[in-house]
Amino acid sequence: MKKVLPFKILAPVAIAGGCRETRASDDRAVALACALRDEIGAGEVVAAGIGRAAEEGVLAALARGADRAILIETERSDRQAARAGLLALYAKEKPRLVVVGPDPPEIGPYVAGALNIPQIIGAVDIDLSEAADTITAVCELERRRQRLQATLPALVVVSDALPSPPLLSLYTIVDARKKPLERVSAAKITRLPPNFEVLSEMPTERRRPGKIVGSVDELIEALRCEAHVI
Amino acid sequence: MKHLLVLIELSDNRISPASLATVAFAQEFARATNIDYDFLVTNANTVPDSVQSYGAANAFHAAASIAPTPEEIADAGEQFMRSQKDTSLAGPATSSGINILARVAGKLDLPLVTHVRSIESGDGSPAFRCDFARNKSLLVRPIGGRAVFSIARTAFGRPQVSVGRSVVKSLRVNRVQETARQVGPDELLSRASDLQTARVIVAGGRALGDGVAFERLIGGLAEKLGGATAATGAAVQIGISQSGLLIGQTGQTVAPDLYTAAGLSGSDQHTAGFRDAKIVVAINSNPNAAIFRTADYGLVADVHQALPELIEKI
Repeated sequence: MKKVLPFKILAPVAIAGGCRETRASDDRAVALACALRDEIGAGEVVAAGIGRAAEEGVLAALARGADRAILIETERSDRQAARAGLLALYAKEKPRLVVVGPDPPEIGPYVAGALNIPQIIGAVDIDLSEAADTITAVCELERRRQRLQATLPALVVVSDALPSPPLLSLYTIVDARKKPLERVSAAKITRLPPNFEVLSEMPTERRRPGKIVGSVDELIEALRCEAHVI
Repeated sequence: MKHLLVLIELSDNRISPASLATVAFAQEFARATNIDYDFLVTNANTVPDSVQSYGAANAFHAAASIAPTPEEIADAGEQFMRSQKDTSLAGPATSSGINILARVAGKLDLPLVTHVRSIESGDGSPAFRCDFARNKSLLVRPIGGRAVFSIARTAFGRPQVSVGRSVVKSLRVNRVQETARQVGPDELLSRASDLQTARVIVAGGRALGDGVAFERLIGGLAEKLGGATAATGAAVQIGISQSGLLIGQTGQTVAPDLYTAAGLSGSDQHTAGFRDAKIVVAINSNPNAAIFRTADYGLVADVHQALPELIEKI
């Protein structure tokens, strides 16, 4: 066990607008943060959510193993609000490590840039030095595996190649509600002038379904003579 | 917006396919709004000849003895944009591109417009059509004069070659403290050819069952077709394939002539990665699998039977 008391890890969750799709990504980040905390045998994982839309995500992080959570209450759930909220939380909590999920991929480097700390992207495994001042991670990115090292404080984006953490039992979810959840109101963030406007929104154009072939022979024939791709 | 700095990734001493889309974006943006643009080569300390004929006024390279980290390139971009108040930034929507672009946006508190697919000039300032989340597309307009753009690699087509040449300049890139550094060597995760340039891609999912079957069937068909192997997130997570082969929202985006999706369900997360493929073939034993809704040709069959037959007969 390493002598590194106290080691604080910040796990921002649902900062991409709190949409349901990013939950699996957040789960991996929180799981990795908790695994590191448990390995060190000391320290604290603080889940952070910005915007009321993030409340569900914050509760999920507590159930996943975070020690406590902070929810910045604002109607905003955009990136700019997340940036402002995280900067405030970072200054207040002074974590040694920030662990973020991989989805969407821009959120990790965006936060690392705002906090001006090193970024380690695509981590499948992280390890803390004896002196608790350096993090070394095995990363998988763009067909390469490499080891990256950074002086703390730093930000780690977990790889989406990590297996999804197991489903939680109802008991764990209910029990997590007893953990401390601090709510901070943030009128200042709500008043931030937005830096882009959405003019319209539409579903992405999907490919149309084609035809079902009856056999491998028919498929080969179609690819050769109709589609001309083989 | 009066000026655009364009991040250029080189592969084999040429502009990478993804960066070519960004160059084409810069050219279209320049035509629409009368801006100038410069290049900044991110992963080399030189500007090869081939980069100099795409209409950029200046082509910058890092004045550093060893390759700068993403943090250091972002730092250089930030310094440039602090001194040039009208400069926006654009780069390819690849992992390495996003790691620089998003960092700069975070540093400078600028709007980050991701996966731009087209420019639409309405009344006054231009708007940008971009992919958002899994299956939404937004038309957005940055406020405040400048922004950071990541450009979808399959949008904007091929850039035009110009007569004039760029002026090559070196940009001072400081060694910064706030950076992660590589220790030890790189290890290549896949022996397959590059997914970005492959004409044929064979992708496998969870139904392959194990790594041996994956290699024999998916790898085997790819080899027979002279193509590359790819995988879904589910296949990577259960450990039968490598993350370097991941196609989808959080993996690579590809646009081959033929994309064969075998033994995978076709989640939005995965299909987002090959939306621009010319022909998509789906093989799955479940006739209701979502993948059949996006495929040009579907074959309802068990991959363990259909793939060996395909490999034998093609």
